Amino acid sequence: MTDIAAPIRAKRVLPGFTLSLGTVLLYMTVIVLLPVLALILKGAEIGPARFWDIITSARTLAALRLTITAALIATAINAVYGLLMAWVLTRYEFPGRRILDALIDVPFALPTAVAGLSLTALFSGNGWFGQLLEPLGISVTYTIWGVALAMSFTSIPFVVRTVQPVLEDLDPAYEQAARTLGASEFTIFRRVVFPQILPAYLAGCTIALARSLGEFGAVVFIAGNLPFKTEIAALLAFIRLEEYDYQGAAAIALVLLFFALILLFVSNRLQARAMRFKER
Amino acid sequence: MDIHIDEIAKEFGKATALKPVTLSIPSGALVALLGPSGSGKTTLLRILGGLEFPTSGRVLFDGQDATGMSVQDRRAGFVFQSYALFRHMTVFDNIAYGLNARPRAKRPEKAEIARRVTKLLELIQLPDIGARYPSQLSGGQRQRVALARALAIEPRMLLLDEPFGALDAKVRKELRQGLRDIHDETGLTTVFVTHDQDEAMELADVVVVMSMGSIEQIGRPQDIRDRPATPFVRDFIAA
Repeated sequence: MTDIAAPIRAKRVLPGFTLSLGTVLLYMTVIVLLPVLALILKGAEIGPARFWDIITSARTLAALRLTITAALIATAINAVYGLLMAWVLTRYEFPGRRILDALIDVPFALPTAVAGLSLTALFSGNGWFGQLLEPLGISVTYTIWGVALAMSFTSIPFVVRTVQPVLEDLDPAYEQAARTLGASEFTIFRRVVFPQILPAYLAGCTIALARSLGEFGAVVFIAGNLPFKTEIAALLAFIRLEEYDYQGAAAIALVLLFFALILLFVSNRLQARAMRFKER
Repeated sequence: MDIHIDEIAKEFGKATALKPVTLSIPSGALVALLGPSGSGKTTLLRILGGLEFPTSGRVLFDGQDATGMSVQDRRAGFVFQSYALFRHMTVFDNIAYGLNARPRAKRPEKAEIARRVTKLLELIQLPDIGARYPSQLSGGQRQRVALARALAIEPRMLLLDEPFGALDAKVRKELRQGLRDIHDETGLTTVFVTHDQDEAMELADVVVVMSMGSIEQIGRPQDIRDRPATPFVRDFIAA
């Protein structure tokens, strides 16, 4: 007997494909997909009319407006500061560079509540910064600025850590070539360096924005949480849940989810546009 | 433009890349810096281009001291080993880069830039590739585009770092002749770095053989082949 009937299966070079992919898919389903699905189903129970009522109520609208405005302010700050930070860390050698580099990750590692507490302590009327700002008529705690500050604190690493590796990998020959062609340093940054880091930069800013929209721990300490004034959407969802108003909580959460998905979509489109030269 | 290198030395930290070397390059010459890796040939080329600055010694362009002159002011057309074409720009925009980067007062009109780019594309015999991106080109085409981009600024000299290093043998041969033709047509003083002695011997008017940061011999290809000045040159040429 010969074994010609045995099925011929192409052997993969790297073993363990089925097991590893299976584990990944299972994990994704349990940790990511099911909660999102449950939220959508919960939202679907509410019915369109009730859903619309909840999210267009004055308090929800005020919370959403504050959340989005503050997140945009935070992202604008991070877009400027994060790019500068990534640039400084990759382009210059100076004592303490490694320490500074490590400090970037502090917002990731720090419990957000700790961040919120220390920011509140610093910026309240008798804090180190607060007592300097208050006489100038600038109050940070219990205002939208406090909310934006807390958001930018927790999301700054996203911008730095996405731009930094791309800047590091950029072949210095590009800039040298531009220099030999007579370009000034600013022109080189604008027309040679920036377009090449743009996809990563857009991705970093978008994730930072998404994170800011959902930030909770750091914000609730500094915001004061006055309904209609400094109450963020995530907190309002939490309050609804505490009141056993599951539908109200789910509706607000769904709106936040919707924004997050839109952001991911926009981010992907922007990146694809900025990278179009690579595909051809 | 003639180039005079006067006792140029370069150290990187404690490592010596160039011991004091002296070399005169007459205007319009086509010169090869030939040597193994680590011989200092690329460092010398980068010093001429203003991408590195010497630890001691002087560089003279047409008798004028240019040692501390900035890269931007040197107007040296430089072709990098990796070509360093801007990936996010079309071939047209790559070649036009040096003209577009000029301050507004010195920048040629748009139509004039287009005219010059078209002319350069004809010079490198690739008239139809202006709209393409570097990733869509073959290695040989990229090399020629890099050359055209360097020529667009109307350079005073042409410096090439291993210009054919990344290409296969057949394309190398074609492009050698291409560089020779462009050199003869523009009359630019041209210096190129290579570790390939055939390339140096076939293409250059003058070959400068380097080793360990020093110049071993300067001469016409025939002289170097017939009368190697040192045992190193003899062995290197024989290899």
